[in-house]
Amino acid sequence: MSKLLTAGFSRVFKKKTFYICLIIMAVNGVLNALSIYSDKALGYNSTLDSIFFEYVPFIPILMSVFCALFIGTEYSDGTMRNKIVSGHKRSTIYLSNFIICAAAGLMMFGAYFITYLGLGIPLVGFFTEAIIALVGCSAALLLAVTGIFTLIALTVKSKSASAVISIILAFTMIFVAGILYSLLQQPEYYHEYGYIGMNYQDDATSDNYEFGLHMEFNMEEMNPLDSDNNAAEPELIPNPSYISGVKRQIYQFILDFTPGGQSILISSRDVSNPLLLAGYSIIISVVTTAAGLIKFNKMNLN
Amino acid sequence: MSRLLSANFARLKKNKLLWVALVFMAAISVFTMIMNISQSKEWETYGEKLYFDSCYFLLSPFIGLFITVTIVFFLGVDYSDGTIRNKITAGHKRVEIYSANLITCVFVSTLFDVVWLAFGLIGLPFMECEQGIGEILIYVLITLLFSISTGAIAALVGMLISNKAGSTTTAILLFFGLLIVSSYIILQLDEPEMYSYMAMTNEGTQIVGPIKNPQYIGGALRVVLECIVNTLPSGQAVMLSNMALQHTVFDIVVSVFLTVIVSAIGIIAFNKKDIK
Repeated sequence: MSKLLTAGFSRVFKKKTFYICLIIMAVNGVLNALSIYSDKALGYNSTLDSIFFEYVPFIPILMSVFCALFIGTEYSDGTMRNKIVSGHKRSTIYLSNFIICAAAGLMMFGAYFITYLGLGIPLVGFFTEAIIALVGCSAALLLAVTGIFTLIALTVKSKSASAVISIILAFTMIFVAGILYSLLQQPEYYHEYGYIGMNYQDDATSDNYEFGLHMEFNMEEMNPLDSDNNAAEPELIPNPSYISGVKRQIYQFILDFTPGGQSILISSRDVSNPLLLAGYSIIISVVTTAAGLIKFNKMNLN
Repeated sequence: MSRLLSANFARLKKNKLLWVALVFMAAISVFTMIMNISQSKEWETYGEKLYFDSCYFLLSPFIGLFITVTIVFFLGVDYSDGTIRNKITAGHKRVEIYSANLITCVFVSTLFDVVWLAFGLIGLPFMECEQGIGEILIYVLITLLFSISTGAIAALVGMLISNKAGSTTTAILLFFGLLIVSSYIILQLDEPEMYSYMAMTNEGTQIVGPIKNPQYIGGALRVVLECIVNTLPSGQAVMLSNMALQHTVFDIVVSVFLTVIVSAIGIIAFNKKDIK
């Protein structure tokens, strides 16, 4: 295994894809740090924590590209067959690829952390909240996506097909999770007077505004009074878009369990139970690796 | 060139990926419309209406993915099997090879557009249309043209990158990258110029404002970003899915121009490419 790991790591450091992924994470770190600094300069209450976790949705995408192209080369160059012929066990080959890809992912983390913290701390100060739990979640998420994309890359012999499947899977996971998350953010009710009286029109003929925002206020409706001339409770209107019941539980489970969902939750810092999310990621990593090992062991590698 | 086209269409007929993708496209179109029909019934219980035209174009941003993947795989086989080199050796001019492939890609793009829209019509008997037939036909034309410009971009990538894995990865990342960039620009352009908010004061609830929104993009930058987002096929697709297209004539003209320019660039670059 050590020979496979040594050979694998030396290949990683010669791989253009690896450096492109590192640069993307580093640039992301720089842009995020500058964005926080600019928000703070505009008077917003932004801290280093505010967008620190925006690297997380990049993990599935970059790992999908890296794993497919890195591992796929072994098939296209015939290296996979050579490793088996030279006596390496298939399980050792599989696990060494998993470890190398996971390590490469951690190095991509490192590129982001170095640039974001290196620029962010001098500009806006240090973290104001504990972040270790969520960083741990993101590391577990890395293992989960590495498990999934290593499985695909090692069981789909065509490099281009595994790249397509992996990249589409990564983006689909994140898009679907984003949609589910925004659906779950819908409030159950909304106050009537929060919406009445605020009309946004494109009518440029009114004298009531200058820039296309026509606002009408009906103060009685805005601040209704009851019979004792006290401010009455605003009427609550059920929101037809609110997701409730079993559907809500299912959507929340999908967000908590899937790597796409976890990447949205961690980047939004909307994680109530980090240990649960990390646990799910470890389960995904173990199950996909086990499935991959079984399938790879039976594959015809001619 | 007619021989090249015949060969391409013969290959297309046997292309499993194309047929699987078309079936998948049709299935997603039907499934999405069924979900919308169900949602419109639910909204009716709240006294709200969900119109057919606001649902019909919802999948616009994603049709490009089907087109891109199918085209890039189709063209990638030409390189991996050595067929491109054989075509050149057999005496075909590079312009003819590129043009034949481009026409094939335009056909594939049109096919996906037609399948998506045709199967989406199942929602028509169940939901009302808010807009007239004229506007809807203009939107259909826009979808066709941005699908074709997406196909032209995919053809450019597929014909210029000889490594199949490299071309597929580049094309898909380009597709998603442009989609994300377009969505981000549209989000920024949607920021209102002024805003107000409610504040609790000693006199009760009061409206503060309108005050200038620092996130608002105005002036020359706004014009530039609007041009960019209306030029990109992904930008047009995202705006259409939100029924937010405002410059339909510009969108139609610019899609045609983009297709022509991308194809011209592709032909010039392919002419100079070293095909080992």
